[in-house]
Amino acid sequence: MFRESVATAFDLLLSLDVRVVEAARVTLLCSLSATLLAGLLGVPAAMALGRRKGRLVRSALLVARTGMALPTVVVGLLVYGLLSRAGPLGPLDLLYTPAAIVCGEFFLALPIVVALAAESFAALDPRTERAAITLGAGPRRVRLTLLREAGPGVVAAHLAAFGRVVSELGIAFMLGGNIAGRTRTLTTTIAMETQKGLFALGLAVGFLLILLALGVNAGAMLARARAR
Amino acid sequence: MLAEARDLQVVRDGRVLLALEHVAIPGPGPAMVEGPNGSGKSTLLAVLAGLQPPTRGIVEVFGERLWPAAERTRRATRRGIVLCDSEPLFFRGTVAANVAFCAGGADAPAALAAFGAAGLAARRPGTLSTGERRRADLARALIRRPRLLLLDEPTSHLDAEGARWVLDAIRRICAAGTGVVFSNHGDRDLAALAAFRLTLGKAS
Repeated sequence: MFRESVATAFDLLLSLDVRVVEAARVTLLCSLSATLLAGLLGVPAAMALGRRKGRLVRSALLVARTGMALPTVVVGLLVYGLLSRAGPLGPLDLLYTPAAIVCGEFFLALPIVVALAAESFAALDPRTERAAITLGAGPRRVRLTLLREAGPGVVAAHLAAFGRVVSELGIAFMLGGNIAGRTRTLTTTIAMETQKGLFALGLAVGFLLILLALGVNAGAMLARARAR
Repeated sequence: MLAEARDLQVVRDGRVLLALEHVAIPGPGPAMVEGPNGSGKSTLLAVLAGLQPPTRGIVEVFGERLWPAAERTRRATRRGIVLCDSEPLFFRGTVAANVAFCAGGADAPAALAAFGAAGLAARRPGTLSTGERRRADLARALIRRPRLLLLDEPTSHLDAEGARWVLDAIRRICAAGTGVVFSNHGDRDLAALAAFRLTLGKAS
């Protein structure tokens, strides 16, 4: 039975089954958007935190690190409260849309980007900024230089965040609602199809997720290798 | 006058790093700052480079006010000053890319060649010897055509040949009209080069 399912799963993958492709499309769209948004906000914050010391900075980093361990259903629950009809963002009518998933996954990705990228900024030689300034860099060029020097670590932070949001289930379920072709992601497909008895389809999607994880980690390894 | 400081004090974490009542460094140099470890040599150079704000005091370079001054005017003055650390820091990328950093398209290979370091252009800074790092750092500083070059212990960690090469480079740089101030901790040959000496004592 298991062996048969594996064979069917590969068939589904290789024949680009529409259910798999649709779920993959939604997943990549949401996860990439959430990760990029988290980077846009998180990297400047990480740079500010990584360059400074003090109690406030340590507290902010503690919050970020705690955020890394947030259960996805808790994030889903909180954002559900924001987006639901009675919530403060209710009038936007975002619940059960891809945007809602992006919103929830953003909060999942943000602390990962901030905490990990801040570490790579903090690990830079403390003279980096000074060296850039004495060689004529203005404030903008100094920030770009710091970003470039911490580049591999910042890339790795994004990959870690992407790896987390791409594989999460709770947010996609609670905020997306598992609507086929619209908000059905890879993970919600597995959860649902397996319950419906379509084990092979679940397995096919599972393989795809493992492949994605492999790609993300290979990327992270490359980024780290380039650091030196 | 290369630089002048009055009533200068730098305090960090409750510790006095540098205290100077008055010093006027005549040009073109080379001028030497000497003193024991912890007397504030590096701190003074960082203040003169416009990088380290003094806790108190007035600092002028080429008659232009560096401290206290608005960040914008300080940036303009700073454009003519480069500080070379005792252990040069390089950015990621090749030596040539480092030399060209913020140099506005100036000719990095030519700048390296001027210090007999043309062969280093494509190397990664991490693979350079101490002497090669020093050459690359000097090329990177001089490509900016500074009016004032600050060198923090330029011969430290170098062998006899490397040190001789640095002394020769300092002579050439001075002869070309660039003001040079270097710090020194016990290198007699380097000290012999100095046209002006400032001796710092323990800053309490």
